Amino acid sequence: MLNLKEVRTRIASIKSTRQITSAMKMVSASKLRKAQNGILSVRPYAAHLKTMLSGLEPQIPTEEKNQFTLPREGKNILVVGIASNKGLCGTYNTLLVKRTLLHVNSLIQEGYKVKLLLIGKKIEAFFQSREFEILKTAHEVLEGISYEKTETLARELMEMYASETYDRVDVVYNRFKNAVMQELVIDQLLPVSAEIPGEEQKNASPKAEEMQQEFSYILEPSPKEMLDTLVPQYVSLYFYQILLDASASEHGARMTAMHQATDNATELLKSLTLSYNKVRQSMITREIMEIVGGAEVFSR
Amino acid sequence: MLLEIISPEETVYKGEVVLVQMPGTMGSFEILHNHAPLMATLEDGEVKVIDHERNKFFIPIKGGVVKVKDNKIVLLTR
Repeated sequence: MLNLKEVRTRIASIKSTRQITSAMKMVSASKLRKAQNGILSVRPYAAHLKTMLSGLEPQIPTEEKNQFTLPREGKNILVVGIASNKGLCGTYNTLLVKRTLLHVNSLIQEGYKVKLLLIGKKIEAFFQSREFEILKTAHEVLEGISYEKTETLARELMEMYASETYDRVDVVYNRFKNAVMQELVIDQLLPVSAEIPGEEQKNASPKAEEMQQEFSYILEPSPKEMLDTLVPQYVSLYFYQILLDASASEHGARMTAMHQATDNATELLKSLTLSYNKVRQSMITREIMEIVGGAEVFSR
Repeated sequence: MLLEIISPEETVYKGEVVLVQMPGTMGSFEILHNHAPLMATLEDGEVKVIDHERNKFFIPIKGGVVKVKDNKIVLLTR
């Protein structure tokens, strides 16, 4: 038979846990909204920058192209893994870590030299204890994502690319679809592909042709210098969008996980209360029987 | 003319203007109605704007790039 007091404490503790999880769900929901707003407000900027780039790009002969857009042969690859600083978000980190590990291992098998840049304490905790070379960690960019912080990191990456320390930079992250769906993707950050990724991919090419035909801008300074300013801006922006996506995904994943936890707690509470009441009832019945039995003895 | 100043985080300014002056990489320049199509890179500094009510105001920018076409000015800054 269940111990009544024990059940009572369990009910109390589950109740307080449920309170916490539901509060965390609310917090994630509001953070998610914030991250989504970030994704939305970067869109006009991104769209304008893309049209400018796609108009400018064909004007420039290949030998004068920006170094960040030209792929090169090389065996050094930097893999950037973006996870989260905090746990309690379901399988978000686990899946990302697995995917990163898979990617890194397959690159090593192909004969590349791989170093890691880890964003998020959770992914660092995993790779720390294994024999991979970690270049550095940058957990702070996840805390209140700002363009400024992102740009600093992106510039650092570009410098390393320019000085040929690395010949390619890959990013493993979760792309945000909606609050319950994230898509785990690997994107190449550097060299940045001329074919511009994103949702406008389908209509990007006719637009570029159109731009090319009617390209009659006065350029100040020269097209090459112009491109040299625009491309790094584009890379930073791209990285910024990646981080925003990752953070929105994280909050989405946490919200879903916490929602489930709250539901589970409610379910558990229901069944515990039921068994508690059953035990209580049978105890009362027993006591009454005892009293009745006792009274009968006296009445004789 | 329609002027839009956009940063990755927000739209800093959007509105009808008469004159815009900005700090180009190759020197400061002004844009008036019916300016020829132009793309230019910008330095850190201030953008001077005059709107239809003759109000003059300054908006600080941190570098960037500007595109002018068909009386639409799009300024991307950080």
